[in-house]
Amino acid sequence: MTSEKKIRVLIAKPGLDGHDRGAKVVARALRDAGMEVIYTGIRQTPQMIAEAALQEDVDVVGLSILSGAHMELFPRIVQELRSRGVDDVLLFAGGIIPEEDTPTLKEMGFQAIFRPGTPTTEIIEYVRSHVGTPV
Amino acid sequence: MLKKIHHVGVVVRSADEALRFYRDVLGLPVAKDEVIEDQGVRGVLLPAGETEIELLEPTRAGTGVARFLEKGEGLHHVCFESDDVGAELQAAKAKGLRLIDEQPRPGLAGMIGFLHPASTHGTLVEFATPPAGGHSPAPGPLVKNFDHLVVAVKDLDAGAKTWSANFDLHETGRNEMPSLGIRNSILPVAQSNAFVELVTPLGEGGAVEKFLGERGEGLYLISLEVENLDQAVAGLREQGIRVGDPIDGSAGRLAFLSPRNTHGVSIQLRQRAGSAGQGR
Repeated sequence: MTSEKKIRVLIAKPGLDGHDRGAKVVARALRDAGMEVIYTGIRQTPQMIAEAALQEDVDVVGLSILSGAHMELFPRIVQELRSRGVDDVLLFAGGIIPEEDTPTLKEMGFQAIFRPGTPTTEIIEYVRSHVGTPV
Repeated sequence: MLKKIHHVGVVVRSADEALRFYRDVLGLPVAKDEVIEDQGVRGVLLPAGETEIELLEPTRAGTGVARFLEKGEGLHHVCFESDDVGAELQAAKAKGLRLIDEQPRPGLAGMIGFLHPASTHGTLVEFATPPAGGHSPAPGPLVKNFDHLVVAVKDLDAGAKTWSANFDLHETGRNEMPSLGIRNSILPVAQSNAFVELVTPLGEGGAVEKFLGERGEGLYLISLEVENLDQAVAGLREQGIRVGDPIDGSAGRLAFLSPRNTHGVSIQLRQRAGSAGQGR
């Protein structure tokens, strides 16, 4: 690809909660910042998210979750990505995620957790400075 | 009369590099590999059953293929085979389609002529009459046949009308597939096992919608038929290719390859329902 290749991002909402305003705000902000963003829509299974990441050849996967099921769903998503050979994407998460879960999620490969109230500029800056340096 | 999809053209930066995937990984045989000086391209034809993959590498700047590459590698055109390319061009002109070539000219696939993509919902279409006694090497160990071609359109009605009226295709069905985020129309190609599938987005923000926004209407994906999908996926993964898990569909099983490994082409592997591979 050309040197000015755009950063490709998948924003996904795993699990059963249907609150996707946050995911849409982040998707729009990253798009406005010049990235190519695919938003999966709500109620995605780990398999669907991994398939979309593979088929779209994204550089970044951002997961939004407000249901509290992240400790169950996130490891499965990581596993589904790895089984497909997608092992070099930058992972981040956003939503209602307790501080105490952060160390485990970081070990899993989620380098950043953005909680409600995070300015979108912070997320944009994070993606720009970390893309291409995955775990 | 258009008989089949003769080939699908893929523009690549380097044919040598692309061959490492199409020839070495997918196992497609090479039927022809030559530089066509006056068109400024190196073309490599790799038969995948009755339809070929044509790799096109620009050998100089300023050509259509070189300009295409500025936007990245990927699907470039589709070519239908006919016994009389001159008659096809005349018929297309009579239907009001814009032509790039008014008269047939020699090309990699035989005598050829191109239509203007403005007439065909953004898809560059070629007609070809291959030389008599043409090649048909045995398929490789992995890919059994070219299964179908997927074209993204904004409006399924308009797309189906254009494709059926202009290319001797007849729509046999439509489906809604919420899990894939698409609605489609199936148009079998006469005298062939392959078909054209038109897709349009269902819902918001999905892959097809994003594709339409980025690149506009046009060639979206190719599907290749394999005998045993599980074996194919396992074998490709062993070679470091990024492949999705097999998905069960209504007419067989599918797995998608990452465009990172395929030089920008979205490729689906399909195992048709029933082992004979004749059904649809």
